[in-house]
Amino acid sequence: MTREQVGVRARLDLAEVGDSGGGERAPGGHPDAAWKWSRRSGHGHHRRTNEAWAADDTALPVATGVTHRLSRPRPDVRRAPPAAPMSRRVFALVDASQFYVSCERVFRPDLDGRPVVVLSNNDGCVVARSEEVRARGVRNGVPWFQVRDLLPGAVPFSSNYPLYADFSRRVMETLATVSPDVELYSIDEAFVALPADTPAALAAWADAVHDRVRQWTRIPVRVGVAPTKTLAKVASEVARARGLAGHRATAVLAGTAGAAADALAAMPVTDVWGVGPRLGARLRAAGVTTAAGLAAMPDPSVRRLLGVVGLRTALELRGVSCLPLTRAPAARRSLTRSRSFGRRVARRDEMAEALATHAADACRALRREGLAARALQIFFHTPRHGAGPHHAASRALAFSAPTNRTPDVTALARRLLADAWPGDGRFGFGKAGVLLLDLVPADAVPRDLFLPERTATDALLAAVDRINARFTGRGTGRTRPVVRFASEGTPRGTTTESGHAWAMRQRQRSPGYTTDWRALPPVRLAPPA
Amino acid sequence: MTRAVVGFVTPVADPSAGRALVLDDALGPPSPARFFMALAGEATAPVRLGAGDVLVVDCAAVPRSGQTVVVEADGEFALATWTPTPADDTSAPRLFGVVTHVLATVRPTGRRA
Repeated sequence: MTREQVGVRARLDLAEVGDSGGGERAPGGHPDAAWKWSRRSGHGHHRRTNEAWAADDTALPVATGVTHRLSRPRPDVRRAPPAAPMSRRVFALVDASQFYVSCERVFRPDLDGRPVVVLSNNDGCVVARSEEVRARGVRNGVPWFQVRDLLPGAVPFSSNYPLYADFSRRVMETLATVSPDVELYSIDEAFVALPADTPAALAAWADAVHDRVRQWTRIPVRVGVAPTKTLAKVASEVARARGLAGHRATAVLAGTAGAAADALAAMPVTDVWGVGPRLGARLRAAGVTTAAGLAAMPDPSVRRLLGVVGLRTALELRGVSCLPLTRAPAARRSLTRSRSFGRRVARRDEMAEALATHAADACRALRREGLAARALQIFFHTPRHGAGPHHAASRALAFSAPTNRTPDVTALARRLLADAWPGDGRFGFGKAGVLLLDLVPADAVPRDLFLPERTATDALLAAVDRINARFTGRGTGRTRPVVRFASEGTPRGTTTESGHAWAMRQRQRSPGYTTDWRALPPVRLAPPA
Repeated sequence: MTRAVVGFVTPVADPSAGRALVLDDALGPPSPARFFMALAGEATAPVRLGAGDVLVVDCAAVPRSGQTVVVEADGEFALATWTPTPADDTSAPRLFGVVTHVLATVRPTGRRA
């Protein structure tokens, strides 16, 4: 099949889904609403409707033919009868395996098929590895010096978070063209909600999404479709296996009763989304070792053994959707705090305040869960449907060491904002947020020998957390913390920089291909034929 | 090749309404499939270009025969003119994207950087 045919087919499938999209939205005031960056659609003018694409024949030569074809019904897909309402929805998990490695490979075609690893800050540990490296038994998290001799010819990279954040944004914006309901779950995973359909139609949709993301962003993804988010995770594993076997990495576990039965029987229960080692141990003790075993347990037993969260997981495995698009189970790899503004924000000091507030919120959550973040992304944008001009911006950078300290995070957020800010009064922004990336257990973070004053910071933060825990939340009548950082609420206050050593050891860092004009990927001229 | 935004339908009739023009407008709406790349040598066709000139590349576009494209060849990117090849021809260079615009620095005649 030529690329042209594929492109047209993809466009058809996606357009149909896009047309019938819709549905309810999580209420903005819900406490969970701020936890995840739920994107109903692309950023304002970033989003192109299919009509817009079609009209813009300069950018997309294929589109002219598509408008013509769109008006014809597809003969090969039988639509569900009207009695089955479109309000039935399914979820797709779009997941970029080895995402950091894929980003590093986009502008290095010479690395196709070669072993590639991405290292953590200061080039310490392996945080991402290519399939070639995984196949040699190297696990994520091992110190690079321990395994480098096992991997002759392997190409190591220092993490290049601005590059990864840019590709993450590209993937998410591409997904926003296929469905209005996209939830960014982590830097390399997103859930997409779409109307239920026949297995054949869903498979065609999944293939089209897979191909579109690959073609537009150059990032390979897996697409798993199922009636619930937990089953979509299972479908994604099936898709991974299909990809490794040389097929397109897509899988649909929906449409028929028992569609997921084989996959669930083969999946260890500890691999189920939301079942960590702790719950896994309890299940093992009860003789349950597979996902199918958990799905088959009687409700009262699940509830007694695993509580209401476990029951939700069991129901999701049976195809009963309990997790709406904006909600995720506890195990997290990234943490988002964002909120729409009550009014348009056009001044940098106000934006800085908002970001500092989100940063403080996010840090509190990190400390509560004993986690620390390796990198920070900030983002802000104008409302998608309001009057223009429209603008969206995001910036990301790694910390010198994983942190959950509010001053670290606000300082970096301020730095990123200084870089991203387009100027006061130019745009009226409607929403802003912070995304803490690559979360690691805080107790695994090495002690910082060179910055002893941080011990005092930690003691201070612990005290602040205790005060806030006592005077905020249930039964206190307050939702906002009583002790806050000045940066959250002093518009023109200039806090001193804490003198962080931002420059870290990153010997193998790739160029800022998409973030630095001086580092654009080179294109040579083909020798005359 | 230099045709600007034509026929893009948006609720805001003119994306630049109420503000000064910026070069972004000329490229059309932002797209997740747009990449900037830099020319590594000199070209004389289809226009005179020099090293460092910026190529605007659209990976979402499907090339028409004769269009200027970026392909992956021998582990590098190279500029090429697109000619359709049979899908089973594995020796053909892999398409990266279609060059939609070039941001070229104008240099004195007879001397190129």
